[in-house]
Amino acid sequence: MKKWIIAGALILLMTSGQTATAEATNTNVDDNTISEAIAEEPMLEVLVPQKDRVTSRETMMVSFRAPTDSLVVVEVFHTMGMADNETPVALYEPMAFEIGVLERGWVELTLQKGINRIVLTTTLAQKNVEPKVEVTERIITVKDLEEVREELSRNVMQTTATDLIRRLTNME
Amino acid sequence: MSKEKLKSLLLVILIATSVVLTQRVWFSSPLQMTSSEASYLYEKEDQLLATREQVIRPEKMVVGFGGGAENSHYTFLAPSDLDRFWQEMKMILRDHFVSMPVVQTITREEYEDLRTNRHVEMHFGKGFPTAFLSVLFDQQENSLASVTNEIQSILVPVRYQGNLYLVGDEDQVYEFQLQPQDQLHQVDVAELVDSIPVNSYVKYYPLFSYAGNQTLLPLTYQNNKPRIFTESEIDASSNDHMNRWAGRFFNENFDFVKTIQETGGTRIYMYGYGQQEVRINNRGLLEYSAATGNQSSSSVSRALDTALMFKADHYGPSDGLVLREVELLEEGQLRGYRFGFGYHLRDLPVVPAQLSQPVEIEVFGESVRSFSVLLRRPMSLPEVMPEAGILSPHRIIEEDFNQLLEEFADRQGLEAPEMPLQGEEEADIENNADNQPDPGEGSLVTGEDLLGAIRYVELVYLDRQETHRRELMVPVWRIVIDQVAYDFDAHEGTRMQTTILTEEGVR
Repeated sequence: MKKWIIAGALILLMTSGQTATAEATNTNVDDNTISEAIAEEPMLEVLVPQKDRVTSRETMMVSFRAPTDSLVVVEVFHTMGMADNETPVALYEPMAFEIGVLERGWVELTLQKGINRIVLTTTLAQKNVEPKVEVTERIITVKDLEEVREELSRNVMQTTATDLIRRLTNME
Repeated sequence: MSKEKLKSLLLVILIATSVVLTQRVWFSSPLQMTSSEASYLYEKEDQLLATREQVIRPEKMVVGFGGGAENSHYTFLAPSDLDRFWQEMKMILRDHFVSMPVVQTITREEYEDLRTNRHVEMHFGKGFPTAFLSVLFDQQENSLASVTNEIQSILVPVRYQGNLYLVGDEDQVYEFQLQPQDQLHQVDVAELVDSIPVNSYVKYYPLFSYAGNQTLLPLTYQNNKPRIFTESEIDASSNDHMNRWAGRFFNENFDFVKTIQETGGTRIYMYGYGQQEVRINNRGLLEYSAATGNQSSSSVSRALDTALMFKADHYGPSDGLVLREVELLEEGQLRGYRFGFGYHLRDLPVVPAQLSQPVEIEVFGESVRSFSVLLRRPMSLPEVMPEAGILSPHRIIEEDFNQLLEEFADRQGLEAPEMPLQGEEEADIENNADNQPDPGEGSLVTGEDLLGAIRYVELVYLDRQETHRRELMVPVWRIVIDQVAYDFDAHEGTRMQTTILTEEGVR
């Protein structure tokens, strides 16, 4: 009899302990947390190029996704990359794109050999608050075809097998 | 001399004279006629060959400048450049028709990959039979005809090493690989592509590739096109003029032709009891029809020859005719072919507002059953060139997106989602979202569905075929989404008309 009581009490204790643990973990996400998470997502997504790039081509089609009714201004600044104090030169007058229902914008750019910094400034007007502004950049380095090939083969030789696999599986 | 001798002498002279004169009338003239007829036939044969050469070619040519999947751009060649490229491509094709290249099938994905590298792609008219190229190269038996009856497109990579790619029946893609010894003509495709000056052409991109659609659209269209005053070649306001046109179809039988003038303005010329008929309406559209009895066509090439000769004989030669459609007609046991031809104005194709082509010919056996033609030429009036230039088609699609999506959804029998309207208050959108009924699974059409359904986008001159001989032709963006062609004024962006295409009209 005693054994049964002790066993029963132990089982009750274990069950209530688990319930307490379950209760302690608050799985209910309130609205504040959700809106914070949303606010962290960037307004502008540059689709092409997805990241900074080294290329031999001087023309590039840049495409991006941004919210409807936002304004995206694209500027391109060029430096040869030789000297640290080199003044960037604007390759274009700032180009403004009003984003419509397709939520897409496209611009074809003619870059120059050297370092091209593409700056995309997205502005979204909001009701009763300051407009939301966001700046995104992409660095496109244009080199001769031979230089690009040399750099690629150098990168491959310097990278260890583990790094290569990591880079491939990261799927950036 | 006695009287009798004199009489005999005179008789002999008369007989001799009549024999000589008879010989002159009967023996020399037919010879001349035969020789002139022979040379006439030679001329016709030459003319036919020339027209056939002009007509059997791609309807469009696209040059791909490469750049990989994300950065490749393309251009559609103007008719003058197309001619130059076609002469070179013919040499490559000739090798493939004369020799026996190795054939294998490849997937559509592999074909799309090839398009991201530098290449020349030839697009042929709808239903273009391989037999036409077999006849052009005089090779009835060849590898291409053995695998496909029709050719949609042929791609030749810039790094051509005897390999070309063909999209044929049922969208099947084939690779044809020639052995080096069979490559009789050396064509430098890279040099051909490089011959197009940089920045001299309109760049096309697969802007909606994110929706799984490789349709090419220009980002901007720098070459402005004018609005042109045109008139039809046939002046339906003058009876004499119409009689002369109609007379070309009846020849010596014109005296026995009945003429009927309809109140709507159409003039009908009838020979026999429906044996032959010519109708000319007040827009200048000429339609000829004739009974062809039990004639049946056995060869599409012969049918094309019949069609071309008929047009040259009765309407006159037309430079710049483009073969756009070939359709097999089957009526019971009888077979015939319908050929649709088009033409260009300022390097843009002229597209009639009605579904037919500017020139349509139906052939059964050795005879033409129907022939319809409405060709326009520019008038000597100033052209109108709006300063704003040609609008970008993706902007036009975006402006009209909600309307297009609703119509697309209606046709699918589904609901369109509430798309955000430009400049609408946020509060209103929220309220609407609350009031919307919960859509069932799969019953909503998305914007990406619409973009994925865009078949092609083309800048054309629209022939509205209104009730006038004269017309202001405007450049129009024809955007084909699924089964419907939407025509937008390329300068103003306004929708001009919507046409439901039959299956035959969709590429």
